[in-house]
Amino acid sequence: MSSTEAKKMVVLKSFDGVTFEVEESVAVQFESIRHMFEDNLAGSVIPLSNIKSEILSKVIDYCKRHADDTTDEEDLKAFDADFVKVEHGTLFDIIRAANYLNIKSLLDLTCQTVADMIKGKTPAEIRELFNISDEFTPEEEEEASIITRFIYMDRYADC
Amino acid sequence: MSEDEELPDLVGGSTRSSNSTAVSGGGDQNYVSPSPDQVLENVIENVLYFLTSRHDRNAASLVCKSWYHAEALTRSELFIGNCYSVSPCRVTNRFKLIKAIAIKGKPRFSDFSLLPPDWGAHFAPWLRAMAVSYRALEKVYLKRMCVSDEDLAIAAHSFPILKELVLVCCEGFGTDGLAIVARECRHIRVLELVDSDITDDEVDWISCFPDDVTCLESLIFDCVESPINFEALERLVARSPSLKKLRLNSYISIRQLYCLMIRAPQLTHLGTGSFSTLEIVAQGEQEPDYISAFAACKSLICLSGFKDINPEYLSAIYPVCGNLTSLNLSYANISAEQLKPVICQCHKLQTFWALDSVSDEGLQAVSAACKDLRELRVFPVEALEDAEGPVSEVGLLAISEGCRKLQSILYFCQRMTNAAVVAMSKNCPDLVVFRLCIMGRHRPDHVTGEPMDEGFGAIVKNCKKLTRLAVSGLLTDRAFNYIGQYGKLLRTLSVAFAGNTDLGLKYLLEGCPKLLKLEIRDSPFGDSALFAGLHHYYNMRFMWLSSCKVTRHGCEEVARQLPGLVVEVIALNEEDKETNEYVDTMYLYRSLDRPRADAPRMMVRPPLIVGKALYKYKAGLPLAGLKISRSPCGSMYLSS
Repeated sequence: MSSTEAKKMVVLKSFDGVTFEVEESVAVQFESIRHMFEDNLAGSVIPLSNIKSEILSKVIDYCKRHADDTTDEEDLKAFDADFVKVEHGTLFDIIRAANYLNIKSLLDLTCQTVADMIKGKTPAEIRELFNISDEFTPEEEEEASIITRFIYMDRYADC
Repeated sequence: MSEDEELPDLVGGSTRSSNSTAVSGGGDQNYVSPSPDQVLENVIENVLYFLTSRHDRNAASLVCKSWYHAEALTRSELFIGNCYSVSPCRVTNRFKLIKAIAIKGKPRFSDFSLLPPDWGAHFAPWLRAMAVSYRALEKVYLKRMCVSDEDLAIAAHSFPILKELVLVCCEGFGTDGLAIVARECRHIRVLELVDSDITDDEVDWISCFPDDVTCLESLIFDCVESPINFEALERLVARSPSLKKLRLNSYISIRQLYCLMIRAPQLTHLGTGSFSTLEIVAQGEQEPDYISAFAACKSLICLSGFKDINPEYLSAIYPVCGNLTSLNLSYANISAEQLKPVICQCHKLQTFWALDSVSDEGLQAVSAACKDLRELRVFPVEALEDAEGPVSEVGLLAISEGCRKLQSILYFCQRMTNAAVVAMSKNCPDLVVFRLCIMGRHRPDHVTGEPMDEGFGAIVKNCKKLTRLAVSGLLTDRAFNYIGQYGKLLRTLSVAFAGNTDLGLKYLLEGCPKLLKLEIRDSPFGDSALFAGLHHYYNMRFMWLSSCKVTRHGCEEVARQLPGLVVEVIALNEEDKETNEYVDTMYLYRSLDRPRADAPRMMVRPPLIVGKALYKYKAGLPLAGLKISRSPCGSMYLSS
């Protein structure tokens, strides 16, 4: 994209009606809606009807920072680390938004964060962490646990 | 599809997950904020891609039903530790997108002719289920399974993008099957035949690979005991630019090896084949410059083969010694003098396998040169029970003093002392695998005459990471008391000719909470010891007891109390089955599904009264013969 086009703006509207004006150079990171403004629909409002304004604002923040070529890598890492220090609910909303908008780097960052929370924990600890209720019947639990005990992932686990 | 798609011209497609629950409608009126755990349900599939360890995936799958399903949908690799622990269709019903599968069949003691030849572990039932469900399968790894030529043909046709086929200690197929794989599997990158028993169908299978450029990265056929069309092999190597691993069989001479190396200097792993001149060499004919051929292979880090070595040629490998991380001389009957000039250059070596012909002196040279050694295996040239073998406690002690990073050892010897084993336990605290096979039975510390209890006791006490142990020599219940007391991480334990009373086995079953695989032979453990493990058998992959003192009644009682268990009782001799007080072999394992339907034809009775199953059948093979397996998991016990 040439520098003269850099100021082209795209307007996004969250589900709660808040509009955000975003430079196209930032919005191109939204893979799934990219064709909208690339098809000369720039200027019209693009509704993102399942993303709350609070989340959309964060996502836009993230993309702005990542669109900025002048940020050095260390700063970006620090920004990312800080970015994911949010409540679980918010983090999940961001994952959903990243998935919906198909922003790969953001999806990777947030999913990795949740995965890191899960790592090394028992099922009970994970349930407690995310406040999940366990609706397994005893029979299902039995099958689930034995099948996981006998069917592993890594083939060299016990060679 | 979810409501996401209600914005059809907006969303080209979500990246991975398709089950977002958001409600839309172009406005803000319908949005219902989901509770956090509902949201997590919607994103868990995405998150699971970032969970790669077995432990974490398994934990995630047990969190709740939706995670269980999401986990099953996102799992691409499976490892079935015992092919009879679960039915193939249960696996294909749960996991839909599998790209790689590893299945293990027979218990390890089948390597020592302790199972009837037609015992089972057929790949066919798995293949039938997978052929329908896993068309996108890319990798198949089988160990100790029966695979027929027909199976290989079905696999070749059913998995059009098969990239890796690894058959370790498998049997039932021949070069006919290999020809089909070579011809049909156009995407094959890895074809590895390791310690498998492959029939010579007199087929030129190497010529069956397509004539165009291949994507072969690894071709391992050192166990294929049949002549190879060398010209075809040479052409194959020449048109396989990605080939990194090549292990040749003993029909390949060192001259032919030279030709191949010239064509493939990019190799990182090489099995040399015979490493001798098989051809008749005319008087005065110029020998190829083997040294320069090796010198040209600058990436070579792993060297094996030497199946029929002429030690005069060993100097050829000098140029690569400094780079080697793995050297397998377990077929090379060479002396300490012949080993020394090689080993003294191998400073980067992490894995070293040898024959005991290198003697204690050779191991001392290893100890002096290989400071980074992690794994050592020493196999016997001749497995004699009553002989003064060439390696002893002297070699073991030297290794422990020189190779402090040692993590894994398999050591065959005739003489050992507690002092040397204790020293190793202190010098090598990182040991994860300790397998000491003092050949001959009930051999005490040859200096003090004491049992070997204290040595093995020190290993379990001092090596805090130990997960695998094989014990031997004269051992009393005391040794098992130590193992039960300290072997808290022990997963695999092999016992032969050891223990005094039922207490020995009780200590193990009550003391080792992580015990997954237990194999015992020729030890005096009976029913009361067997009952001591009732609380643990559901957690185990298997337990094998042969020539112990377990009765048929004992086996029936275990099967009755634990209906989820399959207890196979194997009679090795037809005549003995009624007269013997004790069962020949008991093999028990947890199974989620009905007992297998493919128990041997020679089964002499229908399944008996108890539990899920109790088979009885005779075996054709006598309890004899000695096999030394050099497979990655091989070990050995003596049979009378």
